[in-house]
Amino acid sequence: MPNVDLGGIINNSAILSVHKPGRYVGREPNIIIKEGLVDFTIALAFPDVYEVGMSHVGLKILYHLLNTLPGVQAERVFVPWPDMGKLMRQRGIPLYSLERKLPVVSFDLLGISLQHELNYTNVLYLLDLAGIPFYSEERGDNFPLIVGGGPCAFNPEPLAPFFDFFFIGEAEEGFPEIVRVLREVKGEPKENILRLLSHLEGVYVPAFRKPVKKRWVQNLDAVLYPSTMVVPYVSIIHDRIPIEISRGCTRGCRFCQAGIIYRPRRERSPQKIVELAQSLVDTTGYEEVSLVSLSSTDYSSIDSLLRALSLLFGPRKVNISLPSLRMDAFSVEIAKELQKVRKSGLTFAPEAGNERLRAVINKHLKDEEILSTVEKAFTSGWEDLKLYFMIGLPEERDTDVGDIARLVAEILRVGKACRGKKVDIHLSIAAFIPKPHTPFQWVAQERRECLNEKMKLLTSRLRTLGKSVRFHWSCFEMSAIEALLARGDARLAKVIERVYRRDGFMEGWSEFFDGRRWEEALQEEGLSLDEYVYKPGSFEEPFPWDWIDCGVRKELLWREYEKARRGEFTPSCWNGFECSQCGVCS
Amino acid sequence: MGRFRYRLKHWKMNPFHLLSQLDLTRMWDRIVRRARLPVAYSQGFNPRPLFSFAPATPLGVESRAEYVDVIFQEEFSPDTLSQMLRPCLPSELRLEEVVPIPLQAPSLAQSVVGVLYSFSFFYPPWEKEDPPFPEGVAVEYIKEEGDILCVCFRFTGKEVLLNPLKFASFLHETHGCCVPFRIVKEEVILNLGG
Repeated sequence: MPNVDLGGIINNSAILSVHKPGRYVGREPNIIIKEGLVDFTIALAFPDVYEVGMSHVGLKILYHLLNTLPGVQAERVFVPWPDMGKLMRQRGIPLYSLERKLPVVSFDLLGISLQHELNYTNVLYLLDLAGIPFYSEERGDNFPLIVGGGPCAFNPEPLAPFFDFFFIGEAEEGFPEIVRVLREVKGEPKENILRLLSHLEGVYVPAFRKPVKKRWVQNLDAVLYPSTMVVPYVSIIHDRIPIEISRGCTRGCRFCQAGIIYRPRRERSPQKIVELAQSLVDTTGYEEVSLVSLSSTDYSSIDSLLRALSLLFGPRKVNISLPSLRMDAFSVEIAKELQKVRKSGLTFAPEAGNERLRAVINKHLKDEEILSTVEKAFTSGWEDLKLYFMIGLPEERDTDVGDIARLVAEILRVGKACRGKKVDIHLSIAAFIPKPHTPFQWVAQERRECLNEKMKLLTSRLRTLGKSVRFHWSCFEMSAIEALLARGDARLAKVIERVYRRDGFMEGWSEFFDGRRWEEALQEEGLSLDEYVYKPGSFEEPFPWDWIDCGVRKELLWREYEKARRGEFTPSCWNGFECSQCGVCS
Repeated sequence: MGRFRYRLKHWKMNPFHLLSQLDLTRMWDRIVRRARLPVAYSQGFNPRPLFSFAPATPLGVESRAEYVDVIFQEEFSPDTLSQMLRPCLPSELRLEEVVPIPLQAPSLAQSVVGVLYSFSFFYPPWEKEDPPFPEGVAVEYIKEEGDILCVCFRFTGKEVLLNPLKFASFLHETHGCCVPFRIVKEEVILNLGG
């Protein structure tokens, strides 16, 4: 199939009416376009705009991993911002890949990354722009096979009718094998291919439903991590080199889905990380390396790793950053070490306002630890802190919400004592969402009206603290839809389609989200939020995601839920020490 | 540690005319790091590489005359710098020239005294006589290439920074001229005497 003729758009002054047109150009340093024989093509699609998709580490890994396979060419695809989408439709330009500007419909395999539930309608936006029928059963042999993966694939049901198959788990383990199989059977009838795929471990084919166990990498050093990366010209959300230093987290926060589905915790060796950092800085020229993981200060040799990286990159003015700091004195020490090149803000996540509720969520931080950590931060020179809190947590009372303001007042008092009036505290408050595969999967989400009441209470308390405390909170209507899609079953596919048909795309962007579309679509399908979101579950009641095995036993999750209700602590396990018998390592 | 200033001239042709000035700033920072060139940095909490740019070309306008001054900690011959930087740039952004200049020479922003922009039209934009243009804008030359008419304007004086896109809409709105389908910054006239 010929390349998409972008001349009509790129050369035309109409493109100037589009926001950030640079994101549609491609041609960035380090893209891969193979010269030799290519007989299997993969479009790696991210159902959000360029700057979000390009920030995603998983996409970078997949891009390089699949392009190492002989005969295989993987190319990137992002959905356009609505203004460009409209222009493409007007000019008859189909969705295209950035590397060779090929129409998405011409690829052999279309892989869609499922990172966030509110992007589900963007999957249809993507297919629509590509000219691909939405439902798997409507697509014959002449369309690309469509695979979904990522954390949302751990409950694939709401999207199941749209996809041909899902891959559950970590791509490095198993996905290249799937591509090799697909390359071999290319040209066979789709049904035969899907039947064959359904026998592979980690693959879920909705047409042949059977229990699936996630694939995971035993040794991070043994699998590919890209030693070069595409360098965008336009600014993206996380505009830096991400190096994944560890995968998984065993802190066991009971609301956290990533903490469960990415178990067990594994580390990349410091030698490998330094080697990667060197190669990545040399080949990308980036000014910052971010050491990515779910809890970076848990990395066993974080201290010596940071020293080695600072020595190497300090003279080249390359900044090192850690995105996820625990709230302890050690983390502040580490952050101080990181400030040598450039100074940036400091972010912590106490999540709840008092020790009782933090015990419920298994985040055992005492108020005095929090205060001594912030004191250390303020005396070390920081003047602004960002803090994350959640409301609507299980077992939460109004007094707990008030305690967020009490704790912030204490932090402010400490800050003012150390830094005077310059202190600036920024709170980000989100609604708790009961995600699948977590100990809180049995919990009902708090209704929007209750969350609004709690937020009203919290707002009135926080306002008394003056201008030094700024705060914003998430849209609770969006949180309810996120919970709906996270917990949904296959009946929601029709709801997703109805919302899309009402121009409901880019729903993850508050300026485009409209809750009424969801309410109407649910009603038309005879469904309601009550059934999916506001109803607590019992252990016996099956979930739509029950037959996706994330490695952690359901019994363990239930035990953790019971411990949460009693406010009991479960220690972090690492290397078998204080093992909670979650089942993943076995 | 020494300081050596060089003036680089490069293109920004289609499709890179869709990059903003901020995109180019980031691009240069990364290019010199990829080329392992020892660029000098500003002091302070947030050290920045010492680049300074000529007034920005508006997004959507192509250019054969993008200028950037960069200060390195070491002295290089212009040829060596060209050889190190050229492979880092695609052909549409190609490096045209590297010239060493005195550290104390006036900045690019101070040195610009004129800009030549060529406007490409499918139809003659006006009949017979030139319409009255704003002060500081004059026709430099007109070229016919098949069906396409290319008018090159010289922007000078106070209007030197006049946005060519705004000028195109001025022509359209005030004189009913057709809208150019392509605008290229052909050259920047620098007063090297300061």
